[in-house]
Amino acid sequence: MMESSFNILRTLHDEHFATMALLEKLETALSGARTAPANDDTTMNRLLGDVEAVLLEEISHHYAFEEAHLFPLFAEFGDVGITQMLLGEHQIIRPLATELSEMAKAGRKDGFSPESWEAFREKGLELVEREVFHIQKEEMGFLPALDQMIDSDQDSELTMAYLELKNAG
Amino acid sequence: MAGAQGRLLPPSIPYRFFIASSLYQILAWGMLFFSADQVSFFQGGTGYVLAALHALTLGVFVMVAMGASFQVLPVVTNQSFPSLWPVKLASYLYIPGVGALVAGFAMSHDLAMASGGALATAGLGVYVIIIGRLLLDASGFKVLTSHIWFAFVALMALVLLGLGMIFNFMPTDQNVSATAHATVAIFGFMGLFAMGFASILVPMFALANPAVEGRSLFVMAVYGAGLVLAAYGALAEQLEVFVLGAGLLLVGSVSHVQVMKALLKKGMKKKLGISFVLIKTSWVLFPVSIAVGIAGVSGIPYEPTLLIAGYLAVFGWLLTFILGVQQQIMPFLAAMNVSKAGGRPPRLSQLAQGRPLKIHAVCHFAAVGLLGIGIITQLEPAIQAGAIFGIVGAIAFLWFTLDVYKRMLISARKPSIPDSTMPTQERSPT
Repeated sequence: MMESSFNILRTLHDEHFATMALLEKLETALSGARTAPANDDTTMNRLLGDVEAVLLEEISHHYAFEEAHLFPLFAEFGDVGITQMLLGEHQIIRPLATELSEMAKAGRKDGFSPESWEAFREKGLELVEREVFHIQKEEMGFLPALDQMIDSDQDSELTMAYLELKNAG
Repeated sequence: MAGAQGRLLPPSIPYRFFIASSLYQILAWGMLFFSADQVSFFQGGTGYVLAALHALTLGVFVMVAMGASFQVLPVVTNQSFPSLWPVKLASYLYIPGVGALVAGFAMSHDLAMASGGALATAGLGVYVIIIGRLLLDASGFKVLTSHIWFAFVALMALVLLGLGMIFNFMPTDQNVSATAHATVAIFGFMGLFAMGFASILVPMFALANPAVEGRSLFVMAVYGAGLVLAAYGALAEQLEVFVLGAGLLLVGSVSHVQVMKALLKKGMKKKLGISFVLIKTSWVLFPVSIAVGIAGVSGIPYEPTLLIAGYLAVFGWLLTFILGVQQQIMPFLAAMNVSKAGGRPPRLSQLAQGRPLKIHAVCHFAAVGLLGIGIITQLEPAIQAGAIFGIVGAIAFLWFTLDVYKRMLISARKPSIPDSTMPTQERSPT
């Protein structure tokens, strides 16, 4: 965990923070609810909306940026092993998050059946566990190490690249 | 964690320390059961109580500290051991050395005490050289490394005092040496290690920013000054100096706990599980043990006060803290070992089942509580009941340790993700 002077690392850290906040809420909601929520459960619907939005952001932009820009940079100066481990986790979490996001969207629209809710719970709890552990590794090792590797010029370039990636949708 | 994959040791190395620590914990509680009639009156001297105490301090606390530091320090300091044989040598010397020493204390067997003490000291010596060399080349992590260096100084002092008592070369009375030895061992070597590791592990577990470096170092300086004064006061038999030192230790311990509490409050991860129930409890009992100790030496008219202070420090603070930390780091390291072996990244719950930890937590708290009641009331059955809970809890912890190890080996054999290809190694245009 770090307090970096670099914009790009602070941005990624803030996104981790937002994701963690959602995951904590999701875990609480799923752990305590063995039966499907009612269609008009506004708290659950708001949470499902957040799941959809945050997971989409985390997967499509955050992961893609790390894989395209940060992992190669890290592998050049650091250790390929760590990036292979993180990439391996991306490859497991990405389809899981996509599926969960779609289930959240469908659940918000049509409600959950007992079966679809059980599937959502199972996938959700797995995602929480995997993503928290993944963020833990990035916060404690990956981002602090990058903090030692990049300079302010690279920070500006990386920040710009991330903005472009997000703007491109 | 940069380069962590290349710096992870073969899992058999840290796990031999972790497994040995669980076995020594079972042994310690077992010896307390059989010496229940002596526990409330313990004032030093060989026998099962002293043996149980050293099975806990050397066999559990130092054992876990060695296993964890061999594995965690290269990862966090971004350093590698040039060779693994000294690490293995340290285990070959230390693990059986502690056993011989504990057996020697239990049976009042001079040769076993001397040979066990020599082996354990040699193992610790190798360990200090290995970790010392690693820390000399490490940059950053000033709070952690400062605590470890200070702990090593305390280790030298406590080993000298310990060997002095075994070989009778201390100029002071045995009780005086024993008080200084216990103070330096519990609050010096083991306490500083616990505080130093907390500075990196707690932020990691809770996903929090580390504490401000200056504040942590100031806390360490206050605590360290207290330790030096308390040790000097004990050896020189100067009560006022000892109390002053203990007072500074108390201030340092309270400040350390406040720093840790602030970290948790700001941490991203709020659900920290059973392990943090143990860790938070230990943080409460850390300053309480010192406060009770101060009351004990200040003439409070209640004879077992010092024994209670020792009990609170050893069982309430250190044992509880170390078991809490150990149950967090074992699955974490196991998951990294699985990834290193090319296995599919596992879920933490796939590596660590919760049942043994729940059994352990319940039994541990019951054991510590009953032991405390037994010491205060001098009730032998309460101590025996506490020891039985302690044995069951320690067996549950051994079960957990072996289970994590087994699951790690199985997970490591599962195939990795087939399309796990790295992006280009060239720096991408940004």
